[in-house]
Amino acid sequence: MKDRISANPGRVLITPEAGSPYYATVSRADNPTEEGTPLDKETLLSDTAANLWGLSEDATVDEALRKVGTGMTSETIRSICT
Amino acid sequence: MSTRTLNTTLPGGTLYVSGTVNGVSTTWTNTEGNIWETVADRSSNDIYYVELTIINSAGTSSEVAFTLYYGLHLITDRTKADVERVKYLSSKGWSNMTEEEQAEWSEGMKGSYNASDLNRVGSAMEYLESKFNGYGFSVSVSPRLDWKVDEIPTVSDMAHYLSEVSFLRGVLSVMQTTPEVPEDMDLLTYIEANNIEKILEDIDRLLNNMAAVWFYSGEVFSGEVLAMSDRVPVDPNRVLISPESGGASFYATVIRADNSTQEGTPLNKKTLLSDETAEFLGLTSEDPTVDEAIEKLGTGMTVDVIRAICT
Repeated sequence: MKDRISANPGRVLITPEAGSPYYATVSRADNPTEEGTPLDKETLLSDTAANLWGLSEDATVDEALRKVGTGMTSETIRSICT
Repeated sequence: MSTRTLNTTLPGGTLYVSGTVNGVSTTWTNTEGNIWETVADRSSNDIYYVELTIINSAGTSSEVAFTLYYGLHLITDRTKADVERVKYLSSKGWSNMTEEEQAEWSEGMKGSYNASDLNRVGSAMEYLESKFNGYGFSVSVSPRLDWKVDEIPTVSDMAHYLSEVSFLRGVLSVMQTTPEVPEDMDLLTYIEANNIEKILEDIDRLLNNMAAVWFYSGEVFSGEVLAMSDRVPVDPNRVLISPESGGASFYATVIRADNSTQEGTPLNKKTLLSDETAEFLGLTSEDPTVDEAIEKLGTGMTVDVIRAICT
């Protein structure tokens, strides 16, 4: 996985349906009672986890799920059984 | 110059083929069964006008001309006037047409429905199949792309043609304005002909909209992305802005302008849980999640799979 890296985080182009477009920075202001787990490389598929399954650092969660499924039946399980 | 490999099915017994693609002479080879192949210069619009001379095992020579399309080339603006124009030229007959009218007829007329339309729509379906699968869907269609002018499709051929349009229409939740698929191709009206291609045009638009609203890794927090199925908006990035300091709420389109140095991995069906992986893992729910996949892997391994393998 690759996290997005922005030079100007939160900067957007707003185009009102009646009016002229303008740039602005949009920040969350939702007063969360719990921030929540960030969905990023660290929580979804870190390099460590990817490498553990022989995947590159660009691998996606989907690829990891597939690899785990395949790996279990052919490699891991065989080693557990013996 | 880049090239495009073209394939077509020619009659059994064909021994030798010569001809042109977009006016340039090309070499055709028999690759498998009745399939012949050539490599042509890639055209800017990915449309290829093919004119061939075919010699069969009996030494008989015949001419065939057809058009091959790649990608989306959709016609959704046929009118009654287009149909009337076809009727007018048809009633005149080829020999009574002016040179301009013959050229107009030869280039393919919007008011008629023929091999060129079938090939064009077929290529559009193949294009959408590829686009769907690139986004993590598991979609398979098998349109024919090389109908010849003198071929007459069977009822079964046309039922297959419409069924594939219908299949693609059913993959996404389409817009209320997206037309229904015609029941059959008998006495096809220009409106129905437009509708077939409008359906494909709408699907392409929705796929583009879907990609326009993907979040990227590192942008969102748990709970902000609610479903594993990709959001398919009619109006991507349209939001209602309600200023707290007063003033009327207003609708606007908001797009990223954060000058990213790394776009990041999109968080979508393809990167999180594709149809292919869901099927591979044996997930049967209609809209499986990553959590279900992980649970399935755990359950399947410790209880079912491992026990079966170890004993």
